[in-house]
Amino acid sequence: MLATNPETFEILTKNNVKLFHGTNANVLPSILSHGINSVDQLSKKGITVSTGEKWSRTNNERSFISFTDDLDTALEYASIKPSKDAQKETSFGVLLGISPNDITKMKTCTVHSDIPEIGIMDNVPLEYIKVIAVPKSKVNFVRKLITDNRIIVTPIDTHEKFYYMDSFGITFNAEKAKELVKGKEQRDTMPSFNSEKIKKLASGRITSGIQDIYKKIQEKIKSRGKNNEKDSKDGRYI
Amino acid sequence: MKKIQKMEDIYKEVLTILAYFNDELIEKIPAKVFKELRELAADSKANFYIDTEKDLDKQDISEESKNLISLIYYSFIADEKEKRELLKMWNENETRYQEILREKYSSDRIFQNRTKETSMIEYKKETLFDTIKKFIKKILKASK
Repeated sequence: MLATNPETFEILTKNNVKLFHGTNANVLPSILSHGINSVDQLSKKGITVSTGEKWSRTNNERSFISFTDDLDTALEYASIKPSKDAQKETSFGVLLGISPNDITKMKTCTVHSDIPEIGIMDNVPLEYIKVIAVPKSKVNFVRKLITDNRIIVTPIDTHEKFYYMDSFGITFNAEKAKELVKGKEQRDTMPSFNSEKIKKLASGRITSGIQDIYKKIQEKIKSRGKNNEKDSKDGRYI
Repeated sequence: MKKIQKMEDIYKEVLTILAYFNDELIEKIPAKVFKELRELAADSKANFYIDTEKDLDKQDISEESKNLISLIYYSFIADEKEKRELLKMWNENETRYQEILREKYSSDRIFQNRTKETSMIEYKKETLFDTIKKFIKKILKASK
């Protein structure tokens, strides 16, 4: 990672982030509001799990969240497609990073697995998430979603294999490192919507449809404001 | 085109689409909008994906989400000229839509294509005398 993504490497090192959990963007709204929940906790709330963990239940249970210090493994989970038949469909990968220093503040369990992992029971509160790594083109978007300024959003190529340094040095030669950096154009094969495309979509709408959705949002924000005394947000942004 | 009933699913679907807006467009939308959408989407149980082979107007998005995306575009991204053009198009589309509805549900049309003649059949309630008469006829028939 030092060779191919020095910016992210520095952020991870500086913040002592050594444990990772790979997932996809569909869970971001929930995570940024409620923290990371285990499959069992999500199921109790009626939330369908579409991440890698749904395939790794033990005795039909999954009451913990896996974290690993193996970045390649975590990235594999961040790259999982919704289903094997849905290869054209994508939801961008998300890598969540925490520090081993905060593990002692949470309830953990041992996980018997082929990959090096640790389990954190039930929920990882938002306050312990230090880093969220996403594809480069999604960094600005994710930054706008986050209220907590302590969480750092950094770019990462979820399809890249990372090479490690050990006591014997970097395990690939300098030429290969150069090729990696040169060839790494943040392989972002995801679509991108510009102003013209959005305008084309917008031009097909009707006034009553626009007014209808506007009213529904206003009502939703008003009712949320009544239910939450602490919510002093002004929903009149439109 | 899929239909979504729950508002939190609409917000999540819209966020899914917003994630694929260009950075320059994302910059124009206030952070407050993203945060509101995120909070409202937090309880959504649905999952949404982008079809990498389709353009925005061909994506399988609900009508409500298309409306919200358009509203966001109008409110934060469109310049004054584009806003005027959009309003004009929406009003024209609305007029056409109302005409189609009127045409579809006009009372004249409902009865316009009536081809089958219906005739009234007189219904006569059977009296006690009619019942006895029927009974006697039955007996007479049986005795022959």
